[in-house]
Amino acid sequence: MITMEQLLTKLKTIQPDTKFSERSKALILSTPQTTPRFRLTGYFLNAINFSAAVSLAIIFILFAVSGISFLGKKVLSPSLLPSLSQENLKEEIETINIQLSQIQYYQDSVKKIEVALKETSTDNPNEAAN
Amino acid sequence: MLEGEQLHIKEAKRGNKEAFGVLYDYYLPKIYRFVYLKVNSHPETEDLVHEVFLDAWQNLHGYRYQGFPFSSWLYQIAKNAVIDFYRTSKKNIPIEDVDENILRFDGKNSESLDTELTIEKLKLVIAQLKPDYQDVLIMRFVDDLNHEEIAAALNKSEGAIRLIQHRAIKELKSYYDNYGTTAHQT
Repeated sequence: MITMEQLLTKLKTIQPDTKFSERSKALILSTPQTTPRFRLTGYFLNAINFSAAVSLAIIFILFAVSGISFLGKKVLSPSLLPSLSQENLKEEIETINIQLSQIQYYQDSVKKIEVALKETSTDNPNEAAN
Repeated sequence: MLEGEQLHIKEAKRGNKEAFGVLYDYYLPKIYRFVYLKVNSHPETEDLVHEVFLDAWQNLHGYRYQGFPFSSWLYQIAKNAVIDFYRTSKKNIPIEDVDENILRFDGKNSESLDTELTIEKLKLVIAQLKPDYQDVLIMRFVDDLNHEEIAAALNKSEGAIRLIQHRAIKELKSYYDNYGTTAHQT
């Protein structure tokens, strides 16, 4: 049994008329080709496209870099950061000093209380036993 | 693929008419069959094929070898020419206008059929397929292009072409058998 693929190959018998092919070929070859001028134009157009793309990319990179540096100065600069100003630092150091002196005071008072308690217990041993 | 094809193309690009003549002689029958099976009329096929080769000759500098044969480029031009033809003229052969005698045959006895009759019927059946299916079947089985060449001509992947070919054959067989049965019964 013949398959569809084999049947399709029968279509190869379709051929152009020889008179047509000769006439057509002669007409085509008598027509001039459109070559160098278009090629040159195409070359320049491509060059313009490429340079335009490169300059746009450079402009974009410049914008991006300047934007980042501006934001960096504004947000990350130590001179502009409120937490790093000298006055704020002084205040912070003062509060730390106060906290440290308070800690020292509590430690001293704990020792004094301990000593006082020991003394009272040695003066009245019966009371201490009870 | 034509032997020394790239050399002929290079020469033809320089304006060598003889070189383009070699390309023309080699590809004319293939492109002619492709166009004829799409438009189904010899005079219109001749006009379109002439336009295709004229376009190719005039714009040969635009062809760049990218690993695919010249045929892929020519088929692209031919395909666009056929699309333009249908877009502008809206010409088609209504199936009602076809001589019934052409359709009167039993597909089961295809071995004994007259070749001309088979061709007529195949043409009618192919015309019923989707354009992509038509392209792949004609290029593959009538013009003997490989999958890679067809893929390049139709801007599709080789896998897609294989899939289209499988579906097209299945659909073609279905239409072919139905035509035979329908015509035989009526």
